[in-house]
Amino acid sequence: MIARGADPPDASQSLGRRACRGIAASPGIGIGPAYLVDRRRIQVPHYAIERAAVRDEIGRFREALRATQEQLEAIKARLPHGEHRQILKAQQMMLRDPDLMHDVEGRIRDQLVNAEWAMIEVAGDVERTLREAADEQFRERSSDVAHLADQVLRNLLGAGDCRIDPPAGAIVIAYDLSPADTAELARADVGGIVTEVGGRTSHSAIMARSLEIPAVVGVEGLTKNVQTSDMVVVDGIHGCVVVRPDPVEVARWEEARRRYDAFEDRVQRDHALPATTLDGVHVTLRANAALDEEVASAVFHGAEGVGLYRTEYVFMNRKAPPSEEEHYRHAKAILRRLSPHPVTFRTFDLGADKVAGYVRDVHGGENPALGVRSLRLALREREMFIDQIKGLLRAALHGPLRIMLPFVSGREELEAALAVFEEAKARLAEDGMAHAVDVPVGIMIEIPAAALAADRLAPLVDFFSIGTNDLIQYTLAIDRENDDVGYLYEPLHPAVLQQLRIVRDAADRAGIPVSLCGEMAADPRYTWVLVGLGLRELSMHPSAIPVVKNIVRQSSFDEMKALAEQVVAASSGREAEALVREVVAPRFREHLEHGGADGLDSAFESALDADAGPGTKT
Amino acid sequence: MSDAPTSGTIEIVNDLGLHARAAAKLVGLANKFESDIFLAREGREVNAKSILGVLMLACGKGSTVDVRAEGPDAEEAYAAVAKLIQEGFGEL
Repeated sequence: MIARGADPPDASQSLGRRACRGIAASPGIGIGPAYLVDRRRIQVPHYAIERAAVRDEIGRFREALRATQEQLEAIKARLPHGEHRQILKAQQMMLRDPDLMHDVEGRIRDQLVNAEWAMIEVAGDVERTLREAADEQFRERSSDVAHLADQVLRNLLGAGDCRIDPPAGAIVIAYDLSPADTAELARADVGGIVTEVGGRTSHSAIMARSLEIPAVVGVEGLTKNVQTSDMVVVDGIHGCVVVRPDPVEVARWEEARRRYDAFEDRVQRDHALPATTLDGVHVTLRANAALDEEVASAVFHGAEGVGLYRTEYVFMNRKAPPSEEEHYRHAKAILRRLSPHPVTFRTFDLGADKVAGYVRDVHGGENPALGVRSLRLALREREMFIDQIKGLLRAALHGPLRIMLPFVSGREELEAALAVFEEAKARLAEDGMAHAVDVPVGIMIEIPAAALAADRLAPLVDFFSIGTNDLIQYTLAIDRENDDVGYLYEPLHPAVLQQLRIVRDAADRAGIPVSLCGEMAADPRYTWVLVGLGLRELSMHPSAIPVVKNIVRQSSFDEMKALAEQVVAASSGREAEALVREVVAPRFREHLEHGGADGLDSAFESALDADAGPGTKT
Repeated sequence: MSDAPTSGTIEIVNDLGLHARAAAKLVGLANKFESDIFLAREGREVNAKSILGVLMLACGKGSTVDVRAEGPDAEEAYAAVAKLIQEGFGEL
């Protein structure tokens, strides 16, 4: 953070042991030397420029804004819905702020200073005004502006500058980590993360969970009490941080870590074993992936292939759409890494909250979630779509590749999309390019219309994949980014379960497989219900696979089915949730806890609290 | 020619005031109009199309803002912005 004028670190700190409480953000126990991130040391270059260079300097500033915009977009797209995305959205709006551009460019032109300095001066004025606001929520926004300015600054200085670079095993301690910082942590093998600000849905928390790094957030005043290389313990299960623990205590924490890791190992050890129930029903567990690290993680955690490969990222952070050749090479490389397992490539799901710079002419409208996005956008940007399909059909010669169409709402739309496949094949034949002709093509069921009319769509496709994130959101008419209606988000709502059954029945009648690839698949609470309902393929974040697999291997299909039948008959989502809790919590307490507090509702947590592990009293 | 107003003083009625999400809504709305739209409070006037500007006003509940629109669609712009604020940004 560029907090010029902020207090210097407190020099009069005590060097004794110190224990603090925060919010458990990502499960696991980390013990290691502290690595303090102090953004105050960034030097902002300040130099005069020639009048003739003003144009170039302004160009440099605009390019940095553009680059920052796309970086935020890429980070936002990787994150689940929630408050953190709201913050990124507000930051993106700030990047387009006409006054910001006018003021910075005015300074460059009038004062003949470099872009970095002009930008920092303007952002500094904004931060100062916000910091002086009487109302706390406006004061908090000043750190958003500071992070944003920092990121634009990094882009101006060129990638590589100002990056955080913690040594392996270190516990990263920061006042706050910007989205860009957390992205950097993906590359470093750190032992834990602690921040002063942030909640369970902050960028740091989400990124830590996805990277499986123990993390505690919301630990006030910590950065003033820790120095780089102090010994630190992070308990991301219970939300505790201990600074400079004595040796006896370290030994105790090491034991707790050993037990935690032993469970992790126990479930991971089975990663190569099949996910088969005690009574012989096999459930195929696949990974959702989009990034390189996730592909590696899928292999490590024993995924039987990728059930959802999001191709949006191939389209982002670039100036023109990818060519057929790029799609071909990209898909071929992914297939090779997962061989012999299949990979389901979902055609680009851009629009709504994910945009690529070169698709600017499409307006989201008043309500982008219901506007031109995903398949609708693909059918408008036909050439971009054809190039992707041509590339994928060529890559299919190199391994078991399947293609999935997102956001299908009805029969004609599906037919129009399938016509694009025919055209792609005809063009490839015309060009004399070798390609597969029998690639399975399926659709995402994520719009209630497609779920309810699944029997009309099934004859045209080779498989269904239910995308529960959107399906739940559209069915219950709640925007998950809107905290005010978050309480209505109920994956076990009768309307949702009813649709799962309709889709399953339609698939069964047509003799095609159906999988489920929302966040619900990764939640150990719902494994029994989903398998019990008859789903035989679940696709999830790779790190969730071992725990879900372990549950499957310890359960019989009969008991899962019995629970599913009870749950389907429940009169409300809450009642269904309670039924599940009653049966699953006592039997898989460790699994639920190990999966992190992520997704655990308060009732679940209180059920677990009764028997919380060690370290809670430190 | 109608005589619909293009400026006026409006009270912020929603609990959170002109916070980030409300500011984003207001800026989104302001950007739909060709007219320039200004908000003023305690001697500071800002561009309603600038999210940083709107945030810097730090309008809490109960504060009042002077809204002023200038341009070809000033009447519609003022009416729309005034309505959004009066209705508490849909948060009431």
